[in-house]
Amino acid sequence: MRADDGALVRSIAAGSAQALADLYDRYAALVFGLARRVTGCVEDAEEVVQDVFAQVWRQAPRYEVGRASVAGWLVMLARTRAIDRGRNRLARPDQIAAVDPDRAPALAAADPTPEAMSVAADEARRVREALVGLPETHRKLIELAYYDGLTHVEIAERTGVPLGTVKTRLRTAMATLRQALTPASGAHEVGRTAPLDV
Amino acid sequence: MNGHERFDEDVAAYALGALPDDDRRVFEAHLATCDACQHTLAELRRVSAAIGVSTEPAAPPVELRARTLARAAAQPQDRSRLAGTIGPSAASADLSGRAATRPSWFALAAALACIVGLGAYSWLLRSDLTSARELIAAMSARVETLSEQLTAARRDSATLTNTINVLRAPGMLRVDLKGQSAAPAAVGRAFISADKGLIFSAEEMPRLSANRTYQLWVITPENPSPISAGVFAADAGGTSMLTVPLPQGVTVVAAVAVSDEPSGGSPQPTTAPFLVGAVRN
Repeated sequence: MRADDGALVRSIAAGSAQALADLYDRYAALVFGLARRVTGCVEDAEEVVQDVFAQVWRQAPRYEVGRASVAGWLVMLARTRAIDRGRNRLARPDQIAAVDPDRAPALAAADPTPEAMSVAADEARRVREALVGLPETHRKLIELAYYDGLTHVEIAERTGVPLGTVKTRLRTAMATLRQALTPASGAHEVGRTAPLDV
Repeated sequence: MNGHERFDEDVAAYALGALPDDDRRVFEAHLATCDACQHTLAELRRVSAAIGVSTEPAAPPVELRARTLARAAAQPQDRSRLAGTIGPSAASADLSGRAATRPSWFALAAALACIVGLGAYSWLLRSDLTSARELIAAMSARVETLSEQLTAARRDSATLTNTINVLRAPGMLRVDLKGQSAAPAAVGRAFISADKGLIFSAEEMPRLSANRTYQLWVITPENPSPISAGVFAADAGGTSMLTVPLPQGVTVVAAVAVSDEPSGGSPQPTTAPFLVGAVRN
């Protein structure tokens, strides 16, 4: 059985270039996919991949395994760097267009770590399903915040939705996604019956 | 809407990184004292991470692998004992436990001299924890080169000893202060120990009119009224540094602020603070 993510990071911390290569093989597609989604630019996404794995190499000795998932750490690094790169670009109105709902479910099949990451991956899959299940009016706002790095004020300006409504929708949508963290117990049902029509 | 409902909205936006700076500072000050918001935030951060982890992957160009791995492994790894641990939900800087493992306080003194000496450069960095810890790690790596500065620092040993006592105290907290609308360029940092006092340093302080002074305030979780921690001045370059005891009776600090007050100081702030920072938990 292959090493779990935490063991890989410990090996990287001990200076193993092979472990870094293994982690790359496991997660480069996720980091690249996220960075490309955020920046909308292949060249930028490649830079983000290089930056993220360089940072992992440098900081692995200080990474506290078990504090949160390695995948969560990687996407946080990738998102932050990608948004920083994208921030100087002009606004991209195309990003406001409706998001292809088929994009997300593809992830479940492409999940890179069926065993070692199963808990975190299950959680991510449930949250993604809940996200896809949100009304488009709400999902779009979450995506503008997460992938475009916009503040709620910027989202209101960009979409023409009143700021108060943006705030309420972000809150309602996040509350629905939060319920998806916990498996079973009708999280979807709760999501559907939540007062989304604001 | 009742008083807390606003924060229910803020915590959702905060977990997505969607709070504008002003709102973020207000929310962080509230967060420091609100268990319910801390609990909600921990879960919403998992939601946020899950959105990222479930993003559709895309195969990067094949040649990127070799380039990435070669560039990464060419760098030194960061093994600083001064640096804290990192991770997606890393809490506030925890220098104290590690400081206790240093063989002498000279290394701490050197690290502090370096923190102050790096000046404007350090303040330009994003104030997020990772950057700050990288900075601290880089500083500690330079400790060996700082013996000359250390000699000079020892001349100020009285001040320095107080300062070090704060830094090495168990439970020492660090607070980053950000300039508000009245002085957006101002930046500050405080190190706080309940027993040993408070170190405060700042750059790009706004100019004072005649008969005015800066006044440092601490806000405690249980009392909404700021408590004065003293008045102070800045040098011609707008830089200040001071070490003071915490005000009488104060053991827990939720936030630190600086305002512009009449000479001699005020019992309560008479102007809006231009530097504000909340203790992160």
